[in-house]
Amino acid sequence: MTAEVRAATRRALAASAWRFRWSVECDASVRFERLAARLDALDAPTHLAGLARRSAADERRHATHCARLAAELGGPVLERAPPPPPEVAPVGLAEEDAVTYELVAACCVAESVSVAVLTALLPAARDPALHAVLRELAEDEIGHARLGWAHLAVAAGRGRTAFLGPLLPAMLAGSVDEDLFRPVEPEREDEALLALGVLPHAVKRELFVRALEEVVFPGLDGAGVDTEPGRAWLAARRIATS
Amino acid sequence: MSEKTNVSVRKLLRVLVAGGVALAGSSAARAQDQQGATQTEKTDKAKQQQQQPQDDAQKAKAEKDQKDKDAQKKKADEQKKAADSEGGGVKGW
Repeated sequence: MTAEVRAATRRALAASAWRFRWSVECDASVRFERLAARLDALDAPTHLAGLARRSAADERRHATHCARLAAELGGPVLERAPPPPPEVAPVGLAEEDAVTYELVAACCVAESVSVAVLTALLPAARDPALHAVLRELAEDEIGHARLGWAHLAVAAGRGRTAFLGPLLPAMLAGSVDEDLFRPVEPEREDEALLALGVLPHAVKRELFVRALEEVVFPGLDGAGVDTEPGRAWLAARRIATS
Repeated sequence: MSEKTNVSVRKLLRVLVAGGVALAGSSAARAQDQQGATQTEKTDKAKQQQQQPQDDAQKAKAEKDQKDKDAQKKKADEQKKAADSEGGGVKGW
C-alpha cells in the first residue's frame, strides 16, 4: 500500500469516526432534553434539570463541530439529523428508576468514557483547530458526566440504586460497538489516526476497560451499586480478546 | 502515551465522580433530611398508635399488613416487568 493510499484510508476512517460522533452528539442532545423534562416532572433538584438542558445545548454545538470535521476529511454527514434515540431503560422500571438508569447509561458510562477518550486524544492533536475543538468538548463532557454522578448520588441518598447492579451487563454491552473486543484490520490500528482525532482500535479498547475499572465501577460501588455483574461482563470480554 | 493516559484516567475518578457527588451535595443532604423527617414522622405516628385503644391498633396493623402486601406485590410486578427487558446502553466516543 502506497503512502498516498494509506493517507487516504486514514482520512476516510477519521471521517467515518467524526460522522459517528456527530450522530452520538445529535442523540445526546435529544436525550438530555428529554431527561431535563423528566427530571422536572419528578421534582428533581432544579440545578440538575438545568444542567441537563445546558448539556443538550452543548451537544448541539458539539454536533456542529463533528459535522464540520467530518466534511473537512471528505465524509460529510447526512443533511438530516438522525431519528430520536430510543430510551434505553428496561421496560417496567418505576419512572424514578428509569430516569436513573438513563442517566447512568448516558452520563456515568458513555460521557465518562468519552471524557477519557478526549483526554487521551488531546496531547496527540497537533493541529491547533482540532486541539481547540477537543478541549472544548472535553470541558463540556466533564459537566455532562458529573450530571450522571450527581443524580446517582441523590438516588443513593434515597436508597434507589441497588436495582442497577444486575442490569449493568446489558447497559455496558449497549455502550460499545460489537467489534470493540475483536481484532480489526491493521488500518484501524494506525497510530497516525491520533493526529486526526481518532484513537487506534486497541487503544480505544484499552481506554474503555481502564475507564470502567478506574472510574465507572468505583463510582458505582460508592453509590451502593453491586458492580460484580458488570465486572464479570468485562472480564468475559477481555478473556475473549486475549 | 500509555503512561500519560494511565495517569489521566486515574485523575478522572476524582474529577468526574467526586465532582458529581459534590454537585449533588446539597440535593443528597436534602433527600436525607426528607428521609429523616419521614422516619421521625413514622416514629411519632407509631407512638400515637400505641396510645390508642387496642381495636385501633389492630385495625392499623391490618392496614399496614395490607399495604406491605401491596408494596411487595407491586415490587414483584416491577421486577418481573424489568426482567422482560434487560435494557440497553448509550454509545459514546
